[in-house]
Amino acid sequence: VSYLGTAGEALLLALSWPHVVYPVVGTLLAMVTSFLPGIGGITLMALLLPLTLSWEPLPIVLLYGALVGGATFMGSVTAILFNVPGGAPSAATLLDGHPMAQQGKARTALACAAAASAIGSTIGVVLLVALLPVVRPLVLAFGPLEFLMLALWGLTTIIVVSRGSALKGAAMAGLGFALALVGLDPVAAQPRWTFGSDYLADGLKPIPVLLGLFAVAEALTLLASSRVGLGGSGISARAGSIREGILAPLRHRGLLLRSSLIGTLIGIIPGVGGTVASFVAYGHAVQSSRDRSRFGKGDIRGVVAPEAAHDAKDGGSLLPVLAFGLPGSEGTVLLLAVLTIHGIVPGRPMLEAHLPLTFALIWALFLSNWLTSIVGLAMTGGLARLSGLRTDIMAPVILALVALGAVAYRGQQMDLLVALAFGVAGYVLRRFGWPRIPFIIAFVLASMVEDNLLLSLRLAEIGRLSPWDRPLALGLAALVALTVAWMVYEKRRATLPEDPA
Amino acid sequence: VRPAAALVSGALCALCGGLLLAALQLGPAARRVPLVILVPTMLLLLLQLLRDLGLLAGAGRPRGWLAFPSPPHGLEAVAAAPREPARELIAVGLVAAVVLSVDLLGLPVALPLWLCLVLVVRARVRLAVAALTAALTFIAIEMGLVRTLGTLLPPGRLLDWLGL
Repeated sequence: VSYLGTAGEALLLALSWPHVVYPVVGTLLAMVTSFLPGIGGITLMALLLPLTLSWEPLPIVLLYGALVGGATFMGSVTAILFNVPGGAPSAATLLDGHPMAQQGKARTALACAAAASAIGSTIGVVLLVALLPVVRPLVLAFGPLEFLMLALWGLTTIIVVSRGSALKGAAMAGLGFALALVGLDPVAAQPRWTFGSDYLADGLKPIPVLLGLFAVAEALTLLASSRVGLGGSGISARAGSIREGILAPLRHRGLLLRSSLIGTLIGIIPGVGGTVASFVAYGHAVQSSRDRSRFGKGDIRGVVAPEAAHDAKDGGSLLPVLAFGLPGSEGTVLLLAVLTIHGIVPGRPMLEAHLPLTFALIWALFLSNWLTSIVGLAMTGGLARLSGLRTDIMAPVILALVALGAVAYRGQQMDLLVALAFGVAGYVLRRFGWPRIPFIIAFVLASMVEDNLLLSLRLAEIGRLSPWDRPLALGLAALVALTVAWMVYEKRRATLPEDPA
Repeated sequence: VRPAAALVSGALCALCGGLLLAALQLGPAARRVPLVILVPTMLLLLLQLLRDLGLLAGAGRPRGWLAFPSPPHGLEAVAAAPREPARELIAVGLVAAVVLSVDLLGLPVALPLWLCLVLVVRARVRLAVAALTAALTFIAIEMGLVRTLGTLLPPGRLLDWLGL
């Protein structure tokens, strides 16, 4: 049977009864849990892991393929309506999605996000199927120097997504990087800034930090504000056009395609993940636009780009997992664990003996992305009405969900304390114009940068690595230099904004 | 001079300075990356502190290559609404109350109780609705966290002292 013939057989298998139940249930579960800030797809995947130990491989891949793909759009719903991203990658969507909701275009933003997600995921899956047989040499060519350069490129985009003073943005990136280093030094295993605490020896984890900086800080803003309802004067729950939202990605099809390609490419690179994909795509939307003044104030292109990239990333992120067993994100780490537990070995077996299973997984991802968008769109009216909830009711509920999510993450109450501490810090930082986005991006990328920097230095010391022999690394380094040079040029040219503080 | 802004910048300088001093105590291998990050970060923070203290031009108005147009984010309408210090203190107090109550009573008891009280007292929600929300929270903790996930939640100190 040919490659595409196997793909067709797997699609029929995935759509047959009772197998179709698994992607549908997986998608719906992912949607519901993703609506809750902090209790995202990762917790759900971990939660289901012990329940699925006795299952056959096909239902497993159908369920987990749907869980990988089903969570993304709903994370953006909370970002657009409440400014509380359901996951880190959705943080890019809130930059323009939430201002749109405040301008009475909640439905437009949600419909746009749904359409961009669905189309972006389709592009990602098509590229995955096309690249699967041929990409292996490229991914194998990535060494520590290439990973380091890629992470540095991600860090340079921080300056694009930061707000207000670049000095503050760069300082926050430095602090985010530094706090990510808390724990054991990867070379000497010497404790760094642990102060004798076992909890800190394990390092600060992204989920409690993220919950604090975004969800708790937002809840504090709601509590401290004298405004009682979001729908009172800023947001009209019923305003906005679903049709306009659906057509927006098609109107900006060039941006949609480029963002999907960015998402797929970044998804392919293990360890980078959806957050970088969303923010790089958002940065690209800003950089490639002639009129940038509307970004951050409700420009629909600021929704199209991160949503398309985020969902396209899912297709790309499956590539290194299926071909090499290299997870590219937290979700694919869990997927890899599930596959391994059930004796499905990624790599050559996955591309030969288990090829139908591989395609079943890809189809589950594809179906879940479309199902999420369609169900999400059907529920847009109801979801948009949620933004009319009173803030004095929302705030304690958000705090309670954060408490549940922080503890559910790995069963440690200290994670709750960390989330709340970062929440208070996030509120104060925001109040005085210190941007949080550079902090969290640097925090997420720090371990990748450090590990690959140390490994590259070590390999160079023993004469096993020369940058001049690594054309991919040189290309990525040139990209970093070009990004910085371009930004410096643009900053000089740009009209100076007032400090938001 | 912007005293409140300078206070925040000063606190960040103190945090970074503390980490820097602690990094200097580490071994040569362990402190290499922290120092590479913290030294420039400290300089940037000091620069911002000087600006906030009015000792350096450009406070509140970024200029030159360090300035760039960038998108704002956040609940702008809510954040822009008048803020009273009392409200901010209450908000931080509510967060502190979560920590304190969880420590004293344990998460399964403290969180539903805290949620119920805040909804009734602060949001003026009907007691029945608040109690139902609290009950659902308790069920989510017990069924989701404790029984399904097998999370071991430490009992509160108060309950521990009382032998409950």
